[in-house]
Amino acid sequence: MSCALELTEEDGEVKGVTGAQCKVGEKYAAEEFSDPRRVVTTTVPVRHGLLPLLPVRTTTSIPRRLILDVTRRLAEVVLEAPVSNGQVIVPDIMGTGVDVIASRDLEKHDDRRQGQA
Amino acid sequence: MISKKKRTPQLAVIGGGPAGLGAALAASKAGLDDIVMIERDIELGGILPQCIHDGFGSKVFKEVLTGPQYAQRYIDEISRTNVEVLLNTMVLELAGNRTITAVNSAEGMITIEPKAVVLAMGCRERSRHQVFIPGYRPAGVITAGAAQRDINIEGLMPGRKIVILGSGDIGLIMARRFTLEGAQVEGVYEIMDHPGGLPRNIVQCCYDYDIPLLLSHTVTFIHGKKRVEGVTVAHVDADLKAVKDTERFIDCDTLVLSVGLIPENELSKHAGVTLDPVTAGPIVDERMETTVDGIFACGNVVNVFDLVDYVTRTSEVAGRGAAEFVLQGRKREAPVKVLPGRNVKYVVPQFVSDLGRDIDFYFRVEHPERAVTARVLAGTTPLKSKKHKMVHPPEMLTASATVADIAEAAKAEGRKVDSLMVEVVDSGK
Amino acid sequence: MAGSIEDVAPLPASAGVVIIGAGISGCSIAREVVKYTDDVVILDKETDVADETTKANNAEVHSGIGEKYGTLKQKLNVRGNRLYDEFVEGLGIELKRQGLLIVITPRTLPTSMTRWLPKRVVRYLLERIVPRLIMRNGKKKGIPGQHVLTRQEIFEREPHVTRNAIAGVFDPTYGLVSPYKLAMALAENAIQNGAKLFLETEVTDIKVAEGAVASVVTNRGEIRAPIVVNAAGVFADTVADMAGAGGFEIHPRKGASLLFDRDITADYVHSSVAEFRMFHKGHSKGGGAMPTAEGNLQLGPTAIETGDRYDTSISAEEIEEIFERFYYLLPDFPRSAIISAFSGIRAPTLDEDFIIEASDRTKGFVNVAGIQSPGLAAAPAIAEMVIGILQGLGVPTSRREDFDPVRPAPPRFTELTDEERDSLIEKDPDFGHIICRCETVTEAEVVNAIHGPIPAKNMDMVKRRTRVGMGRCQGGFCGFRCAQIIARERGIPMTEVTKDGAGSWVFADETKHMLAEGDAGEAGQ
Repeated sequence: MSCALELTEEDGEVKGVTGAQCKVGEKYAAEEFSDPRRVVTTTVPVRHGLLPLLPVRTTTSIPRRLILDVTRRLAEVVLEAPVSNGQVIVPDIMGTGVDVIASRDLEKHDDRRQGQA
Repeated sequence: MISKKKRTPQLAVIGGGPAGLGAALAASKAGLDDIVMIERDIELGGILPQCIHDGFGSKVFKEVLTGPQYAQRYIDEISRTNVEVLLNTMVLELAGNRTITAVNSAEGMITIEPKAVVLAMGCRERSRHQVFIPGYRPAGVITAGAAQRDINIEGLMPGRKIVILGSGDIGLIMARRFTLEGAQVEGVYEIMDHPGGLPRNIVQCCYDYDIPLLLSHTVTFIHGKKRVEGVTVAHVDADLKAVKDTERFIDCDTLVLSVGLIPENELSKHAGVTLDPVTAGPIVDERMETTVDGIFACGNVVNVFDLVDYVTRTSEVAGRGAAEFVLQGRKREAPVKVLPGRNVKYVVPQFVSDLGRDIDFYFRVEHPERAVTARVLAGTTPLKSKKHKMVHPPEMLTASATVADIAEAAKAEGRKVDSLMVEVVDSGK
Repeated sequence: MAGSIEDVAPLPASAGVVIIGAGISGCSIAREVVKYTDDVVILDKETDVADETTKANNAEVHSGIGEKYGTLKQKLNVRGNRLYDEFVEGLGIELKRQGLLIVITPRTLPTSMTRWLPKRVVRYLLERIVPRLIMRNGKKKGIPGQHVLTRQEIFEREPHVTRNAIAGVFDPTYGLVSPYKLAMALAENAIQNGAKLFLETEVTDIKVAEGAVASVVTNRGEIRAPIVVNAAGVFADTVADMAGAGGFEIHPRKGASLLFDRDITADYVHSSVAEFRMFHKGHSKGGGAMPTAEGNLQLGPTAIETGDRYDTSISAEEIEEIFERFYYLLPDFPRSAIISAFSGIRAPTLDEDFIIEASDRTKGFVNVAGIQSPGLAAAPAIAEMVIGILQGLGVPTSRREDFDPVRPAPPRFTELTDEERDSLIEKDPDFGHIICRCETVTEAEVVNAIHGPIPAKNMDMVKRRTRVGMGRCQGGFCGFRCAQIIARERGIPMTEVTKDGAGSWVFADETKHMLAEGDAGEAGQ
């Protein structure tokens, strides 16, 4: 499931990657070195939903240095329930070309969230 | 007067998380059409709705999903069946004859007499007293899962300045989560000399945010009478005992504990199901049936799996097993024990009732080792083996044995296979 | 007729009797006084009744065997034990009289004594002489029902006791009761009968005029009163000095105990079990293994002098000491079944005895101080003694006809039959919503506790009234739900919910706010 990669570089240029147990590994190592990217997951406030927060994710990874800016930006979004799984919450977040989507359905609900069945 | 109708479904599934969902769906596909699922929370999904990070489903869906996304797949599928789902319903008792007593606000006391039961109650977190942390008992000591629920489901921050004890995946995940909500994580402290979680989480949760991860450390005192004011941390020796003169004070207002999960088997115990003292979960066979006929178990209630994908797989085995039990009945043969061999802490299933089918094993090693081979033995004959560059306790391993392999071994030994073993040996041998 | 407990109600200008301290002593006295007069005010500086020493009490209703003969505490212990069943009647509190097994082992006599004697002499002493000494001691102190047990009889009763046991004495009148539940029930019954309880009210001064008590000054106002009872526990010396009625000193001594999973330890021992150690150092009786009224096994307590009256910390050494002490007596004890630890401060005087007397320097001021163990066991007798003193000071001697001894106890879902449960759920669906899985507590019980006669205002108060959070998961499942109900029922934001009063906030803020105000920086610098 996990493997240890070793990357050699010279003057900031990737020379080689060894130890990868699959093809993804080589690309991952090179990317980690020059342009680390991460999938960002967080929550976004929702009004009138079964729950007060909607979990969201970036569809694919974005540059690591933008993570905190992205979460701050998403904290300002206010959504209305209902929301469907996969719904685009913020397209092309911070110009990355990557959308932020809902991770689940979230129904509308009244104030009494204690949940009678 | 609340009408008192007794439910008599074919199958009752206790727990609506990934284990329960997988079992109910598998049982439904295998031919059962009268299934009741009982869930204590306000919605299905179990622990997944609060696990908003990704990393789920790489084996089952060949995609990397978040917890809620993974749960949604099964929740959508369940809604397309006629499985009766009881939410906000708490099971109070499970008898050895499989009768369930439950309660909810809408119906009051509920009696269910199913032909088979699947236990899918998951696990709970270990608390501070179970790991003996001395000091005061102020507000601000919280387990990682409870903190995760507070932040991701309820929208509340447990604190501003956090110390995390335990470097298992949940502790690491929360280091990142707290940071991404603006809290200050002072450090992650781990009592062992190796981290508990996956390398990818160490990178993406600690290194990415410059959060120190200190191995061979523990918390020796909690300060603060009303609210946590700080913790004393210390280096530990080879016996995991704190070294007094390495103590130092860390200012914080919250101590998050990620110190282990315990399968939630209160109901199982009262039903007379035999538990394995090593896993703290029921002893099960290759169909995930416990020592009580007709009571099956799957997911974290059996033992704590690291991957939800394994939870799903075992739940499908349990679901199919329960369907088979209901539709065909089954007399179990003399059990064949599955033993943990060299450097194996435990194996699930712990016994095999029917050697006439392929078996999947899930196991953990006792201590880390490099360049090893994991293999299954039938009697004394080794079956398939798999090489591993590195094995360590946090990462669960799998192995399998096919009917053909076992039959071959029986032939080679000239007698019926009467025991199985999973062991981890040096690859050189 | 009923009294009240209100957050912002002003103190009455005067009262017939003011009781300072709502621990087990203060509450026992209050309920006793209220049988004769309803003009009673109880004050406590904490947010709850029994919120200091009493909540950490070990629940033991001792027989009196362990106390020094001739002391007041010993006399009141024996008397109190005898009165206990009558004392709890009507309160809805369970007293479990499952007895105490006193075990004699090779450790009973100190090695400084036994090393000079041949083995068979030591054996004879332990097997024959020591039990008889205990029996004789018990007889002298007026302890009923004690009898000697042989080794075999010990193992038949308690199979987990060490095979090193030599003989034993069984003490059948010893019992266990929940100390804070009892104090709460006593206080509620007192309020029901007209007493007024003011919490978060700290006494700052006591005015004396012409050698008699005139008024009690608090952080919320002043009450004139001719009679003041000082049941202030760890602070009894400070309060007595305010009235010029001091002359004694409380030297705090803390004690820790451990609690174990009910599922694993419920039948581990049937009576309390303690090892008898003669001439052993320390003033604590050494504690024991106790099957509490709720079913959890309890080990402890320790006894450690401390200078800080709020020092309820538990050290690693104390935890180890408890295990080491009981490991000898119960060698196969499941250590990993621990679920909780608690600690409290005892309030002994330097003379190690009770001080229960009307002050001869300040008329009308009654000290009830130095109430350490056996304070819980002696409670009925302390109340009896104090009412006698108060009646000598002017409290009526004839009982009120309208005194109601029955306190309506709130229903506990876990104790009811299925039919009773259905009936409750039909009237109030919140009885069907289980909040605490481990202790099977419903939302309705939590709501009732928040609106009860002594309203629960924080998580610990809910916990003590309903047991929410006391189970094996220690609040992991129920903690949030409990906080939510408190916030909803009291109309406060979640950030104002506390664990046990001011300063013990549970939630710092809502999510997203810290991110907005913070300077969290950049990932991966």
